[in-house]
Amino acid sequence: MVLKPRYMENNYNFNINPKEPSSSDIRRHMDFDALLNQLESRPKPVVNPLRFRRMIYAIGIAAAVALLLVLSPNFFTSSPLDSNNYFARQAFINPPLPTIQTKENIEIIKDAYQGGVIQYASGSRIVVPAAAFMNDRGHEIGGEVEVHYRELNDFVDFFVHGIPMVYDSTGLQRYLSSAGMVEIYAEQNGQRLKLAPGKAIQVELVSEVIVDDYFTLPKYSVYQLDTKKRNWQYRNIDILQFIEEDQWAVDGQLTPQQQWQQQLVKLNEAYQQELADLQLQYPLPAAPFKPTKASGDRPVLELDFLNGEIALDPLSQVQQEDIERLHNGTIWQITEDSPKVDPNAFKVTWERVRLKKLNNQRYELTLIHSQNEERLIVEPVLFGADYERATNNYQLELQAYNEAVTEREQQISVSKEGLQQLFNDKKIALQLDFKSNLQNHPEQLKRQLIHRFIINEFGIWACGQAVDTQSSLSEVTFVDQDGQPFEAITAYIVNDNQNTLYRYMAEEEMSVNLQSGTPNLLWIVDNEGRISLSRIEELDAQSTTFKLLPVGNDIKTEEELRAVLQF
Amino acid sequence: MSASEMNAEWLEIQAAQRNPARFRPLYERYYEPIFRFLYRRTTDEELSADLCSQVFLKVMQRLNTYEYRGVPFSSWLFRIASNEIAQHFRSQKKNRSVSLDDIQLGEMAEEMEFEDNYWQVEDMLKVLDELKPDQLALIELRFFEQRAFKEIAEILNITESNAKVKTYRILERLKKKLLQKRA
Repeated sequence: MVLKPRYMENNYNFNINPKEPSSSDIRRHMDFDALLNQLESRPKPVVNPLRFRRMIYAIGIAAAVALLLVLSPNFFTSSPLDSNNYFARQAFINPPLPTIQTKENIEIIKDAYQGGVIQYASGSRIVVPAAAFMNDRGHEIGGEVEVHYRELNDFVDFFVHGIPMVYDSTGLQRYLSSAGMVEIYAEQNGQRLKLAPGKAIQVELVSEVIVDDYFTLPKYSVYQLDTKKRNWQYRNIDILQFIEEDQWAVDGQLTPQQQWQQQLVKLNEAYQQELADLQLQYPLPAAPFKPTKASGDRPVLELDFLNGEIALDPLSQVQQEDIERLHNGTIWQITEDSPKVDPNAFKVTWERVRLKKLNNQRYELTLIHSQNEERLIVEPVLFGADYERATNNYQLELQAYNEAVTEREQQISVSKEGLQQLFNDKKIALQLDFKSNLQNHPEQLKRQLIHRFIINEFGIWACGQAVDTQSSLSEVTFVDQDGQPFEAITAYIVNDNQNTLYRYMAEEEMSVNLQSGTPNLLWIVDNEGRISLSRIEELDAQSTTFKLLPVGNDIKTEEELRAVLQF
Repeated sequence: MSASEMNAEWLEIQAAQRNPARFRPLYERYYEPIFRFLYRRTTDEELSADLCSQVFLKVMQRLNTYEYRGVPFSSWLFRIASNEIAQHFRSQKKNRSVSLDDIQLGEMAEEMEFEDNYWQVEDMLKVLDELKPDQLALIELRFFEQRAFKEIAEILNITESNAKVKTYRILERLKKKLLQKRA
């Protein structure tokens, strides 16, 4: 097949097998310094007096024209209405059903100079620093301050409070998928307050999200709703922490997470037991007994238990091996803290002694006679040559002991590594098993999170991520029960897999974000505040006209609204 | 690009956000890919160089608004380049170029389940010429530049599944038109 190199069609010029420039050809055009100069020498607006006067005239004329246009009865109806100017003409935060009362928490900071911590029933809390508030004249505020706080968790909250979820990101329209949203402001005597410069409230917002991976924290950012710029503003990364599950399911059954956690605890207990058993398998050798030299100025007793010169009372609390380990020539020195010795005690012929080991160096010695007992605290000591000989023996025994301990540790270490490997393998297997179980129960991927961030202005703050808004279905028309298209009113769409609220100006053949593979909910609110709604369980790509039927004409409470707006 | 490479690049971007002179390594890394992207749509070396300068100037002017969202920085650059191309040809009221080779055209025909000797290049180009710019952009990125759907989605700011669905819908449409021509 021979191809012509260039085809001039109506809309595009097709180049077949074009020759591309080489890398060196391309690099010839590179000039970063010129780019930097261009960046730094961007023209700054300069206004000369003459031009300034002309500008004033021009502004005056423009204002007059604008006024005429606004006063003209046809102004709002004659200009072409597209989605952008439709929403631009509305209040940025625009509750579509203003009669619905919603709840907010109001807590009192007793003394604004001191600040305080407020804990909410949801588990969230805020930390208000000292001297955080000022009035609209910039004066610092003391005394009692009301802190108004509201969590906006789902699409019903976004809808009822009129929160725009559109996020204009460097000129690209995206939507904010929320993982937690909060509105905070403060008042004193009915007057709104501001946060003082340099002051910030720490927020720990608790929310529930569906995670992709049970064990991995998702990545969210923190955004502030800027009502002046009419856009969400990126503020920071969201610092997250999982809240571990410790709740039992209502029916007494363990959830898969709890089963997994329980199995993990059992596995860990078994592992710890195996480690303990391993220590027992290799008994620790007996440590040699370090000889102590007699002080020379303390009274001593000669008691030879081994050759039977003196009988040991059966109530003695001492092991035979302790006696056997005593060095040759050991005598018993009465310690300084021993009960005072009656000098007559040395004249008595004692029938037997009771020995109780206190530690390696100290014993309680009770001298027993049929009519008398004498209790002493003694320590085994050695004199002169006996001490020297015992010390030499001790050095040899200590060396042997250290070698035995090292050998034992090596033996244990090999077995311990094996046990640890086995434990890790079992843990991974358990985790894999748990994950595969979750694939069958995606609802179990719901996890509680704490979002930590700071706010330096009152208003609405959200944690979440921006999602693409490229419309997935075009030429869509919402029609009423008579088949008439809805036009120039706000249409809403929610997909079950994203925590956001899409909104459009209803018109014929609009492009909207309807997701396949997940239920979708679409509705409009007409000018009388009535909702018409359609639920789509499974999107049929061929259908582009959706009939919305009226529901609940007289919705007064959030609960009633929630009953209507459910998948 | 791995997550750690993207994180490392994010540090470079943050440094450049503080000091534009620190943008140099990013400029050197991405100049050629962006130039080639532009060249394939202009087939004019000097024009591509001019547009490339414009693209990087805009990138640096908007760099402070750039946020890291876990996708390669290059996707943002290609997106700005794509807008620059569209804007240029719109203002010049000229047709833009589409570069392709015969093998890629064959692969696209194969995707439409056509036998080798069944389709004609002229017919194929005629039906491609009828596509809207956003539709052609998808076909171009996928078949003529062999990009993964994930990257296409990032450049066109759509979801990956949306990119797939749209591409195959366009292919279906092209196939239908080609069959009509043949009949």
